[in-house]
Amino acid sequence: MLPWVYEFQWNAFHITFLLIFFTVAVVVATTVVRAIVRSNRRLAREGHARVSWHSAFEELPASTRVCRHQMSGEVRQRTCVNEFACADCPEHQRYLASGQSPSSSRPLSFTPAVTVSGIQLPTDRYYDRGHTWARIEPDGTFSVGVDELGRRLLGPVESVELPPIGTKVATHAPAIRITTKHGLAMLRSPIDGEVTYACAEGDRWKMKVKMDPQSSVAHLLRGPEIGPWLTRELERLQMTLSDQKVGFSLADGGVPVESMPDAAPKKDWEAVWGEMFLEA
Amino acid sequence: MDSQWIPRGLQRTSFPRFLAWILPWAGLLAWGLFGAALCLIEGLNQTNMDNRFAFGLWIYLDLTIIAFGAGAFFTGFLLYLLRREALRPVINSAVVLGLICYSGAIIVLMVDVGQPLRAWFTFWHPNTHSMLTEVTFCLTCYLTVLLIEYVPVLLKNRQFRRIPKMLVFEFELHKLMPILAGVGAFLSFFHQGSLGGLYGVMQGRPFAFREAIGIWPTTFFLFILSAMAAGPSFLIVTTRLVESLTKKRLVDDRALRTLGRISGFMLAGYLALKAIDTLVWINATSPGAGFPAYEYYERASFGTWILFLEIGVFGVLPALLLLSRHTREHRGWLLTAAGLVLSGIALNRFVLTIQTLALPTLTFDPFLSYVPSWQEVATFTAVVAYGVLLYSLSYRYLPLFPQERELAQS
Repeated sequence: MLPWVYEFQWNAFHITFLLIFFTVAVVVATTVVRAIVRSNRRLAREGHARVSWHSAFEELPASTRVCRHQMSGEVRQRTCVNEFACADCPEHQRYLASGQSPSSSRPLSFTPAVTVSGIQLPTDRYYDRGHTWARIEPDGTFSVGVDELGRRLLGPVESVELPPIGTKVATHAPAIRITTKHGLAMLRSPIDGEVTYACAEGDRWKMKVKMDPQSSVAHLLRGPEIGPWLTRELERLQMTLSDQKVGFSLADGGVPVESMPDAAPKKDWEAVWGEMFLEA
Repeated sequence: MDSQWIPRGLQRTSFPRFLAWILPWAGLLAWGLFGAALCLIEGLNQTNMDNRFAFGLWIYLDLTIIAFGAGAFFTGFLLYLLRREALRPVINSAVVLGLICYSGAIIVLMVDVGQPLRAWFTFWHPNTHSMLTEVTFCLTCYLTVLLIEYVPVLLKNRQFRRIPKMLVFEFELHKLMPILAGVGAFLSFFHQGSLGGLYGVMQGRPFAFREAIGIWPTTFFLFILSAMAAGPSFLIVTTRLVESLTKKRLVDDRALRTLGRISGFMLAGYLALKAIDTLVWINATSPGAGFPAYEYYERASFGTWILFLEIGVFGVLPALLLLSRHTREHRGWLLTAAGLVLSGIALNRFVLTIQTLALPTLTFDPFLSYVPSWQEVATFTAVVAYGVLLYSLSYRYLPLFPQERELAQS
């Protein structure tokens, strides 16, 4: 039923069939080509960081996407649909406007650290949900590090790969590669900005980032939010480490050991890190 | 051993156990491929079909799995175009099942048609008078669409996502899914219908011949509606089957109940039209062709029981079960009803394919019987094995059910 085919006739039925067939073929081909062109453009324009986070966030279970305002008790139940981008979240702005939200507090260096099940998190810094933190320094830059729970999750570090000085890092984009004898972990950057200092020697490392002027730390947890979040994270860790068919099975009352991978070397630690560090 | 390829946060059985599961299926596939190869090399003399009984097990299988595979286009249409978000938890599985059903059907069709080196003839030298031409074009286009729809599911694999180009391509392609869902729905509408129309236009077979609405016989519309009823039910049955095999909850009840309700509505609509169609056929179409309808059911193998079984037990009963909220919300009843729907659609395709050809149309014709050869059965088995293997691999290495992590933790 094509023009070169025996018995093809230039009548309405045959022409309609041809038009439909070629329209479908063109639409399908255009769709694929469009996807290829758009993905190449996006990669050239902004890299894959945002897509990586979008993709990872989409797959997070609702229990991991719990809104910070639920954790602080301001709302009974709310799941984040905004990729933890609180600065763009109208609900978050509403809570801030009330003036009572713990999210509006600032880090204070003189308050004691929050301690939950033996894990101590200082309150002088902002925390990302992927267990990195950002602390403002006197020179206006932010120091970036991994929190205590993250440190115990990783265990002894063999090497650290930091982005070179001058590199632009994006919030929630994979920024720090940590290698241990149990595998490779990727930590996400807590803020947008440019790396101004990066030094890694063996298992010790330090990184500073000059935050973009148009960016903010609105999405990072702070002060009174840290305790409830850490409690939830320890529960999440329990679920991650336990057999899915069994559910919660660890005895209550203990504290996480210094190096969890060394205590359970047969575990798939890359999977555990992926879960806890919100890796893609 | 393959833990780096398994989706993060999901637990799968050990690799040796997985191998033990897939090896028997791989064996069946190999046996089936041998049977299919014999048919392709030696010809259709390897089958028990002949010039009179030209459709057999393969065409029956084709019609049935294409109806079951309708879940892919229908779910995509409901989710991406009508925004039925409740169906998102099953969309990946629906795409994989659709791909299996359609690719399996086309493989079998290629063996049935034979002469694979001349496969391109069907596109280059199509028979402009054949409904199969429309079917061939539509099936090929839709299989292409399904393959493209499968790409984002495939690229969700843990290792592929580490490659930036693949990650971003998956993201961009996924955003264009509504377009593909629309094209898929359009194509499916026509090829499902044309497969039914194929029987309805057979004037020499009054058991199947039907009156036309416009240029399409009524079987055109009945096939579309019945496939739309079967697709969601097939998703319910396969999801429950995978859940029972893996001993896990993969999808929340809401998604399956929604599928059940949709299947129930479609089935009810289909039954209403089929009842009218059957009455017209009994009272006008068939007598008009010189064949009182009761004569078809005087053969011992195909009594009226088959009609009542199809419409009553496999039609009205599951429709009532699926339309009643009370029974639909009961897991056992939902699964039973979905199973009955599938049985009804499979029986309908059997009746149209086998019963149609078995019944004599001339006074000197005998009642024909047909038993498939082992090569036909082997090819049939190969398609089933291929489906199980592709689904098993997809389930193991791809996040087919987005709610799985959530449900495992609840």
